Amino acid sequence: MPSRAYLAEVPADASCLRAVRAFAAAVLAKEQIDESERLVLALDEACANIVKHRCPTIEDGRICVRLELTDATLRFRIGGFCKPGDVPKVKPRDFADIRPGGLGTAFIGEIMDRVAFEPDPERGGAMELVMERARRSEDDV
Amino acid sequence: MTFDVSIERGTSGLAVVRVLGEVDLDTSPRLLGNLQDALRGGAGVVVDLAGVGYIDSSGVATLIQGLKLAGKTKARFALRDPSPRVRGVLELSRLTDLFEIEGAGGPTGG
Repeated sequence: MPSRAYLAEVPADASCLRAVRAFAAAVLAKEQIDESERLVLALDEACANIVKHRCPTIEDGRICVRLELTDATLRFRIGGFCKPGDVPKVKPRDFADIRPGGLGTAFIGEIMDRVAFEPDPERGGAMELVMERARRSEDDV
Repeated sequence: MTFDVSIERGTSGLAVVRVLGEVDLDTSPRLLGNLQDALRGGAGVVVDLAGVGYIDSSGVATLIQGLKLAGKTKARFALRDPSPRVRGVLELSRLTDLFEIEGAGGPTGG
C-alpha cells in the first residue's frame, strides 16, 4: 500500500490540544492502527511541549501536525517546535525521580521508537516521532 | 466532554473530588486548584476518576502535586476508579505503587 499523509493545523494553545487528539484518534482508527491510545498520548505530549516552549519567531503561533503512514513506519512530524537551543531543556526525567516535570518527554520516549529534532531557524524546527510498524508486528508474533 | 470538577465533603472531613472529562495541559490547573481547596483543613481527599476519559502527563503531575500537598499535613490522598486508559497512563509513569488506588482493578497500597 502506498504511503498516506494526513495534516492538521491548530493554534499553539492548550485549549486546542483536544482537537489534535481527536484528529489523531480519527486517523488511527481509520487506518486500524494498534496502540492508538498510546500514540495519541505521545503526540499530545509533543504538542503540549510546543505550547509550553514554542519558538517566539513563529508569528502565527500554530502547530502543524503531519501524520505519515507507510507499511513500515508511522511518523508524526510536528512543526512549530522550540528553538534548537531550547532542545536540551525538553528532556525526560528518570521515572524513579518522583516530581511533576519531564514526565511527558519520558512518555514519548517510552511509546515511540525514535524521536528526532530537525532545526529550522526560520520556522522553529520540527519534531519527528517514529514508530517502526514492522518491528512491532514481529514483536507480536 | 466538558471538563468539570466537583467537591463533596463528608462528615468525616474527607473530601471526594469528582473529575469529569479530559485532564490535560489546559484543564489540569483547574484540577490543581480544586485539590488545593479540598485539602484545605480537611482529613484528606479521594479523587474520583471514573468520569475521566483521558489524562496526560500534566494531569499525572497534578496528582503528584496533590499527593505531596496532602503529605505535608499527613492527610489521606487516594484515587478512585480510574478507567483502564487512565490506569494505563499511571502504569506508564510507573506511579501506581505511589498512589493509593480504590476500585477498577483492586486497591493498591499507598
